[in-house]
Amino acid sequence: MKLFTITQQDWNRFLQTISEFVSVVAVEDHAHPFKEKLYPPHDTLFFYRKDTPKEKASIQEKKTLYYGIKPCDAKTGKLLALNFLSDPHPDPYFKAMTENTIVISTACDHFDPYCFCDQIGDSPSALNGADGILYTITSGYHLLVNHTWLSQQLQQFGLTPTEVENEKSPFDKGNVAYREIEPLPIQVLREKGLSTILNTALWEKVTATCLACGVCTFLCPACYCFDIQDLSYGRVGKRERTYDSCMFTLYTSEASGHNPRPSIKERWRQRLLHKFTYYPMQYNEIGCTGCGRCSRECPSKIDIREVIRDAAQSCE
Amino acid sequence: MPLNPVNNPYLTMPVRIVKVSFESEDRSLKTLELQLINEQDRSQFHYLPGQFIEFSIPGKGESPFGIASSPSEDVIRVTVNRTGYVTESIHQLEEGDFAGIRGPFGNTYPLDLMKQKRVIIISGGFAFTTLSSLLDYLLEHEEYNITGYDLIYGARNPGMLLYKDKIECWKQQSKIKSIITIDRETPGWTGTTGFVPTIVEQSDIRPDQAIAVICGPPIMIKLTLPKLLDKGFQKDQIFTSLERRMKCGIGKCGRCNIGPNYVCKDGPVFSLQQLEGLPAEY
Repeated sequence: MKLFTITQQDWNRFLQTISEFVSVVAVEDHAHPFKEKLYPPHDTLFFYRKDTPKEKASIQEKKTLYYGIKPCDAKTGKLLALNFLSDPHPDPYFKAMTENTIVISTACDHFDPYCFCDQIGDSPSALNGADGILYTITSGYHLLVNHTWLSQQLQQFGLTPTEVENEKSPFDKGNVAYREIEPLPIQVLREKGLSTILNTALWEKVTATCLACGVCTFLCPACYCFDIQDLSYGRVGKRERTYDSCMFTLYTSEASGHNPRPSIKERWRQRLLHKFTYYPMQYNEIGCTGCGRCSRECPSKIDIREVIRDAAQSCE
Repeated sequence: MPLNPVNNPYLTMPVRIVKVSFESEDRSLKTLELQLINEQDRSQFHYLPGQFIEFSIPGKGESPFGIASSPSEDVIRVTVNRTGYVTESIHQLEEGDFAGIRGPFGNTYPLDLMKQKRVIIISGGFAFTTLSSLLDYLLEHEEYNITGYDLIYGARNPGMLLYKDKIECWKQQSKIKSIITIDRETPGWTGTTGFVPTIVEQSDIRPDQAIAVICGPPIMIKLTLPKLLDKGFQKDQIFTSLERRMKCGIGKCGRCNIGPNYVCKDGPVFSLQQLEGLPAEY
């Protein structure tokens, strides 16, 4: 990894320079998750004609550099890749999209009341799988880079890097948020989450005020579930995948009328355990970045941190 | 760029519908025989009993179906229950039409475990499709040395029994002990009557050196499992093929998980032992 120091002015000039090769996009809207860029809410799988069995796939080929992403959001690429790029059928759309994307995050200088990355073992200055991260200092930025092409470009621009072993190397991380706070008991859910399966009282309490609107899943940087639908216009059309949500009845209801997750209790249990029990069982990572959107935007103000604590307590 | 079905698992392989027939008297079930159109697809499409395909009609969508044919046949057979938007469209297909398939997906019945054992097949309704493939396959492959078969198969009424002609032929095989049952007595039916769980309870199937495979509606499975356990079957001797709503078929779209397992990728065949301790979401 290479560490550069760059003034605000030079950073802007640098972005201008590389915009010759990649399109450069500043991410300023943090209400929506960055996952929408890597994995769009509506994604065309292929175009078809009804009268011929030929399908034309639609794969992303444009190179884009995004900067200004929050470190929690940068983790989206790493978490979604665990699902989309897993064998035996790696997803060609997601693969092309990530290969053509350069992600530069900015370390956070404050927590809002819903942030909890530091309570699940991450930090507001973590690289989290991004290609680079900016740390704000008085004169501009420290820029830690883990991307060959990007470091070459910075050196061509006239900057000299220092070699650092990893993101934890001791260097001045600039203006980064810090607070003393109790970690969440996610390890308990990882080890014993399955023991909450039959605890109906717990799930009734959790779901009492849930509207099952699904906003928590749409905004979650780690949620990836999708539906596949055809859009037809006469003889032509396209097959699309669109975000779906485990909070919806139709998500699992079968043609026969049988629904293996008949009520909001089973669906909430699925959402929580998928993130904190199943994902660790499958990939050794929790499906959560601590961004807090699920609680911040919840119309019923259900705070996932409380649910984690309640569920963990019921395991003991 | 990945543009063909080999490295783009969402693209379909074109198939020609070569035969369509009604499977049940009430015309809710149709059996379709499909042939892959492209030579390259034909040479790469290999499956074993228990696996499924996604059947696609452009503009209508996709649905998963267990493969009912045996791998040695030169057609891919599926039996489709007309119950929703996609299956309604599949029922309208005629011989000569084209459609698309993806797959094969999922795991297979535990063929290696069945070697030199007795195979007990318990089925209800139209879940019999992949079990028919299994029985065909094992009968064709003598190297499995199956010591014998018990077949307990039930349907609501005689008109709802699948593959009646084939069952008639199986009945002539000395290695197969079959009980075909319908739910209630019906004029003209001289065979067994009663629900599958009761028939299993009354039967003389035994757990010694045996593997039991059970497929059917969730309620039938739920009521039959205790009967098998009462007879002394161990949880690693009982296998079931699960059905779930599926979209992608490759473990990506999320909806078919049971705990950390995806029915489409890690299943659809699971032993009772594997399902133990996971949410009963099936």
